[in-house]
Amino acid sequence: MATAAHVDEHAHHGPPPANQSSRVDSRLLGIYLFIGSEIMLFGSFFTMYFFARVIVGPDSWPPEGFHLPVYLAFLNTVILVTSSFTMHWALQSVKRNHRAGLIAGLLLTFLLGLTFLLIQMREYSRLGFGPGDLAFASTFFGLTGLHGAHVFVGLTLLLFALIRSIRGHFGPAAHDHLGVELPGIYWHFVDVMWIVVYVTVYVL
Amino acid sequence: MKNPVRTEGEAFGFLIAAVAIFGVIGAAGAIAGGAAALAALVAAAVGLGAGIWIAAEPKVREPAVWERRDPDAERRVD
Repeated sequence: MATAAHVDEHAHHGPPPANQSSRVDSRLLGIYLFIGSEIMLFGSFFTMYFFARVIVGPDSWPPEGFHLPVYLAFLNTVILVTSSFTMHWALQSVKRNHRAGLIAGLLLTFLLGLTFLLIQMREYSRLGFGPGDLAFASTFFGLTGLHGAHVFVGLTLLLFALIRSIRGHFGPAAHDHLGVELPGIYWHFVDVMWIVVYVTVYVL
Repeated sequence: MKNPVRTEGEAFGFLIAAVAIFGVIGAAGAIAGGAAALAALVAAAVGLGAGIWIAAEPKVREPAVWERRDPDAERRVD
């Protein structure tokens, strides 16, 4: 008996491929949208900061007795900018199939980011005021704390990337190191946010 | 408008530009006060807008669209 059904050589097995209407890879699009939402979030915090500053007035900002460690924060800025350089080094290394450079770059970036967070926590403990002390303190802790939380998220992503790079998951082809590219984009965004926070809150 | 975080390399370049621009703004504020910082901010914003307006998109850019899976490849659910 002939086969009941003609088996097409090109028959599709399993579910149909997911529709991809965008020309941009969905994972890349995800990180773009995430960064866009974070820009909105930081924008709202900056709005709060400038609103409070205008209401309080320049003569009382910062209020008497409230001092910010500008130079310590500058050191932190240097550390964070340096971590972006090591992150870029890691990406360049993976594109050149240089695994040792990738691992070293990711490890250095992670350690520098961790140092930044630890210094910030030490700074918090020695400030002499808390989040509930006047609008100045609330906006300060709000902005810097929000940024610190983003650094923590970035460190988590970097840790995943570091572990996967040690296990040899990444390659030089573009689609083989998205797990490093996307955390890299996020880390540079976090760094840019810190530059804006530092200049706005500590310097100006 | 060009996406400044299209790839990691472009995000890194964006960071360097941000350091330079905000460095100038911060230095102006620290040296000459808030008005100078505001003037520097306005100048940077105008310059940035003019630069975006004048600069053309480069003809050849690093592809941001990663290669899709080969359409002939099978997707199996075992």
